[in-house]
Amino acid sequence: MSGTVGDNTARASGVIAAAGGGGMVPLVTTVLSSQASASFDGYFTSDYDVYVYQILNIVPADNDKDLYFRCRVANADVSSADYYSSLANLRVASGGSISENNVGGYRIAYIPFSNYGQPNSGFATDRLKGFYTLTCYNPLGAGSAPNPTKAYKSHRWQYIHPGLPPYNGHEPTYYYEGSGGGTLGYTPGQSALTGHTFYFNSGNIDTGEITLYGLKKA
Amino acid sequence: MTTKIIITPENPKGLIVALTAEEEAQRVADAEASVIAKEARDAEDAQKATDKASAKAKLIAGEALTEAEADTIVI
Repeated sequence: MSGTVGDNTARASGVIAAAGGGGMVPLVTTVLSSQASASFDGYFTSDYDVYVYQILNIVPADNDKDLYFRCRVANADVSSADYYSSLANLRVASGGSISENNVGGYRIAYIPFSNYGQPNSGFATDRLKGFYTLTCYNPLGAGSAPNPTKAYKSHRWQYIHPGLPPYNGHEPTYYYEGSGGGTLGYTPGQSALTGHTFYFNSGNIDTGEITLYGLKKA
Repeated sequence: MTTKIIITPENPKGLIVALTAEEEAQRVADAEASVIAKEARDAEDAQKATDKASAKAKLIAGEALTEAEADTIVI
């Protein structure tokens, strides 16, 4: 038996969803070159609940940096104490062993990359490049029961950074992977996030490419 | 001059602008805070490594462990 599966628009019932719902939609891509930071703003709408930044081949201008992100509200970066973060289960596999740690309570969120695995193992200019994602759920979120005056926006970092070349005497056998999640954006007043800013803890972003996707509601 | 890039639906290719004085100040504060945070993390990691090594030695010798040492080997 053979046939063609079509969408079920206008059908009274069916098992196949109508076309046009769901799916990851690329919203914008930018290539970075010698900037202090990159801010994405104005892309969050009610069409999406989940947004994913894919950060490819990002390299700092100087060695041993951590990659940060900061939330934006009303088209500006925010750094108040309302924006706590927690990261957990960051993991580094190196030399056949795994180290794992937890951090949290910071008013900005970042991958504390330089702390895990080997000394001086942060983002470096001479590394093979890695792949990082930041997922944000409910950036526009308003409060709801049982706490209608406060809204939480959830974030999750994930990264993979394989096969580092020799650096500070280390062999090219380290393999970094990990994830960190947390609720960032405890926001009295239900302030919606309007975007995110990416930057290193100091110095410029030398190169990199960031694409923002939205997961379209079904 | 330090610049940043802002990507918006109106400027999807990005608008490159100079940092404001406030942003420059925040950038300095972030860098300083990151050094302090990294030092704290490094110290914590070093202490954990010390406790773990001590816990192993004490287990082999049949000696009592401190709580911090026990924490390094209890899953």
